[in-house]
Amino acid sequence: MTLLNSTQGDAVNQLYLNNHSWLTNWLRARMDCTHQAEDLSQDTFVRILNNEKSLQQLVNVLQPRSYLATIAKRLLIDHYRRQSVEQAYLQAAAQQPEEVEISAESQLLMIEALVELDNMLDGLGYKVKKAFWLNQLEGMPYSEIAKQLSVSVSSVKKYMAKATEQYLLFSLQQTEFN
Amino acid sequence: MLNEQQRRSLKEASEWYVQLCDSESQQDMTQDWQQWLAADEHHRWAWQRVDQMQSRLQQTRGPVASHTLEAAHYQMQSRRTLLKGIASIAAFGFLGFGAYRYPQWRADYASNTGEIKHLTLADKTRLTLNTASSVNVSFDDHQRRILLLKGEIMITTGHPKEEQRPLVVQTPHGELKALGTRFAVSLSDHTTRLQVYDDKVELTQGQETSRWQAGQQVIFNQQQIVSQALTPGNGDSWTQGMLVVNDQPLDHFLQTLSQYRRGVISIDPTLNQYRISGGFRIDDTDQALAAVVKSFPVEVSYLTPYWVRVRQR
Repeated sequence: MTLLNSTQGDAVNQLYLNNHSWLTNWLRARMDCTHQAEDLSQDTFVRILNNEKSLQQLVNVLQPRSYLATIAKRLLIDHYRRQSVEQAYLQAAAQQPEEVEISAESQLLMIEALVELDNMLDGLGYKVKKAFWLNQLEGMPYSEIAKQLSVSVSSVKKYMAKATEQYLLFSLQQTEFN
Repeated sequence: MLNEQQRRSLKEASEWYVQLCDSESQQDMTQDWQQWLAADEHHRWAWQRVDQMQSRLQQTRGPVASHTLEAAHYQMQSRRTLLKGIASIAAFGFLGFGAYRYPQWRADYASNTGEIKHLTLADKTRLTLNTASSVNVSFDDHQRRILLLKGEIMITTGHPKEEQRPLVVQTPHGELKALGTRFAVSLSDHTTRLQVYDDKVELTQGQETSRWQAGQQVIFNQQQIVSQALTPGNGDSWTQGMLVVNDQPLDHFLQTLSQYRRGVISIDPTLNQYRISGGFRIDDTDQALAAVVKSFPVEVSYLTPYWVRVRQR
């Protein structure tokens, strides 16, 4: 937890009181579940309080609500991303032949790793992602990927380079935030 | 922020990576690539990132992973349309991912990759650090606290008669109180794993507590707790400097082995069809790899001493 002097502490208290229910309502309008909206709203404040830089920003910014909404948006996308990956994974795993047994531990780790990978490739086009998945996760050679995506091999190589470069950049940014 | 040289090196590293992953290429690029690598420290810095990406990707190899991501891609697509006004922003975890990271050099005790370190603390508690692990230890009047920063530890509590202070192991996901016991705690990016070998351990997360006993294994983070029986036998063999496995899928075994080795072992996912049993010395992973080549139809190629590929022959 970040340590605050008392003026800052008061400011944060005030911000919380003024904006907490507003943020919860804002999230509720965008989610199916009221409980989750409350959790996520709480989560938004907790994350800000735990990070000195964001906290300073919240205290200093003129329109705290738009700053809160920005952070809540990202959390919301994170939340949906995790949900999508989790559901998709459980479905894909269920379609596996039964003799392949996956322990609960591996499932959990796998989902975490997949969410992370999905994050790293976020915003890239479908073909770019697909080329990366097929080669890196399934070991498919470039010529076959080219056939499957109906593009040239040199396009596949371009896609691969683009996806790799974004992954490297994003993974660096991620460490910077920590 | 990245400088121009770093950016350029990352771009070039990506291009080299694409070439090296080209399994149909007629030319052997290794030498050219090594020249590039030797030419500039920024190149080596960028390639380290590639190595790290490789080792992360290793955890998600296989068709299940790519099917999952494809399905998730479509689901997010339709969700984004629903979530009007929430444009596609590069929303990787930012504040979300491990707000809890600690510079390695500030740790009280740390082990290197491939090293098993045995320590005895002031209260006679024995603390064993698995490969690439680190802890902080703080004992005061009220408690004995071990903060697990990275990797895995085995604890065998000491029992001096007058000792009243509880022994607590802390990770970002919860606190584990020893109730006279031997147990292992292992930390990964998003979860903590507890393995209880003797007696009991109490897990506290916020207001909730739960007790776990010998023979149980629990994996948890703030969202969930998954418990299962501990596979009997060999889970703690690493404390003796050995990796002992019984009928384990070969790709799992190689993944575990790679934790004891500097650099990356890149593993063909189809190796999960083979099963391996045996005991292997942690301090000689080359020997273990040689044993694998002898027993299975696989080949090991050394792209660099730090980047090894194991593939089906």
